[in-house]
Amino acid sequence: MISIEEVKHILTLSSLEASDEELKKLQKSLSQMEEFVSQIKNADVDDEMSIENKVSMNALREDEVKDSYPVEEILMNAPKQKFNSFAVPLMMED
Amino acid sequence: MYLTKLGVLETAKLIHEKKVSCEEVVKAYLKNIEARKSLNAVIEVFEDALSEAKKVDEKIKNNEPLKELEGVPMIIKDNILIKGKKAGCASKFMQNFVAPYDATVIKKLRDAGVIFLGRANMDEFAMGSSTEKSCYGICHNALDESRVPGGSSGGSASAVAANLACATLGSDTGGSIRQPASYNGVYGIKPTYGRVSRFGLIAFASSLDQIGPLTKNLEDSAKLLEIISGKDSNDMTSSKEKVEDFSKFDMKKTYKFGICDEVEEKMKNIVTKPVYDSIMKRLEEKGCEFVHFSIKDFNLCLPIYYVLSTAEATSNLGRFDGVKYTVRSANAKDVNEIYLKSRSEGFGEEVKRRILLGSYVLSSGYFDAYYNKAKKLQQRLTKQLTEVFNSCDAVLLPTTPNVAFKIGSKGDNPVDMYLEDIFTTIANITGVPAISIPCGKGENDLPLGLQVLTNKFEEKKLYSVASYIDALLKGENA
Repeated sequence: MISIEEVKHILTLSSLEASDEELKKLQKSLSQMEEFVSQIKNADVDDEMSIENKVSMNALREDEVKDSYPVEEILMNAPKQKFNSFAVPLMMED
Repeated sequence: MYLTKLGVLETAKLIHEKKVSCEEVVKAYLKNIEARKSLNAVIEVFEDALSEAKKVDEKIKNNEPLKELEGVPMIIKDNILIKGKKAGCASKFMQNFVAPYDATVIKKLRDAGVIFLGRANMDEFAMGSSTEKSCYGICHNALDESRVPGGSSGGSASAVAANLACATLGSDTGGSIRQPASYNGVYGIKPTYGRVSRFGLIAFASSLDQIGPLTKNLEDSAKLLEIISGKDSNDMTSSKEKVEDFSKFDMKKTYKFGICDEVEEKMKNIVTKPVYDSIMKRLEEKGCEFVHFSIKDFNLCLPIYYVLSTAEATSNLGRFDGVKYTVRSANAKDVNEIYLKSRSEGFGEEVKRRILLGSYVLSSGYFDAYYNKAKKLQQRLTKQLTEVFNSCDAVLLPTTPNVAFKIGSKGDNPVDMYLEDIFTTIANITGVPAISIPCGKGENDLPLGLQVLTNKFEEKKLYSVASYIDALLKGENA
């Protein structure tokens, strides 16, 4: 069972927030999910094995200077933009 | 209308031989989309589809050279970018996003002459097995509207089965192409990891995601995969492996099939068992052999999948922050609140749960017990499965335990839905290709699917074996 404190901790790690009522619901469903995935905890694996991803990984490309996408096209989807940049509220006073 | 029953290759042939105009084809599909609106499989029809069709007809009239699939209409899952069109992963958080570029698969299809008809419904961010979790509402099974079409590519599968397009594209992270294909009686392939570029696919779990076609027949599936495969400098995980002529089936007289003991054990309690037994019997009568093998960790596939996929999702979905492209919360007062409130208001319940589980398995104190362990098990499983292919041509297993379930029938426990992927995640975890082909009928005469798996980058063999079985089931080579 995942505790309410743990739910709050992983909410913070995930940049999410929840009301008290949602917290209780999340505690229940996350505990069910955790119980399900915890089946792997007891599996016996050789400790020598590396966790390196063995799925096909090809060579990296050369680091070449290339044109990027036009800034105005990328900014088109921003909820707020200013001075050709993404706009957010002021973070620091002068 | 017979026109809309045709697949990709048949349609291209008719148009190119001037037996029908591209405009007629597109109009017929638009009519079907309107007539089957209640399916909610298509969330947007592109306004320019008809004008694109007229351009093709103009080319034909002027005897200009035609591309291989010139004029063939397709529908694309809502998580694949088409320049200038919306792509939102069926999430209200992404509802205003307009793609600034074409995904590599879209560019390749465009270069082959394909016309894009619209966007297909899906589970939000591809997380689900029923397409009940879309901000555009529930999508329905094309063969029984009281049932789910499967998911997450439910709209793509339902659209093919209801003849709303010649074919569609979907994406498969844990079964999201194959399970809906099975539920709607169509063909769906998850290619080898790295076969198809993921550039322009909105990522769920980057090491497991693959794009693949959903089609009315095997030939179309092979042809479309041939077109969309290949190395792409924009996706470093895309493979340099040669793209063979998948659509030239190279059938042998008999095959050796691998059957997993752990799957057989699970099948004992499954009502659809007689359907699969009868397929095995027919293959045996044709002279095919069966090799039995055991993969002890098979029963851990689902937990491994949920650890790896949620861990990757947590990282991938970090980019949706209310600053760059998602909807910004109106209640946010400072930057931190923009992140917190935009994400909390924007993501749906299941997406949030998976982000949270991902953070949990990656968090300090749990990383070794979950993520690290799952990675090690993945490695062992991959080694075991790829070794199996030394002694057989292909592995056979059902796509799903049963036919499509009723809408709303899965309970409150999210794990109930996860069990849908019991037979499909192994291909994603190990990276091998897997196709689901319609193989018979279960309860209420609803379709069932059979999965064929081969070793990595053996899609040509996969299609040859699948077409052998497909022909046998259709009584063509009896």
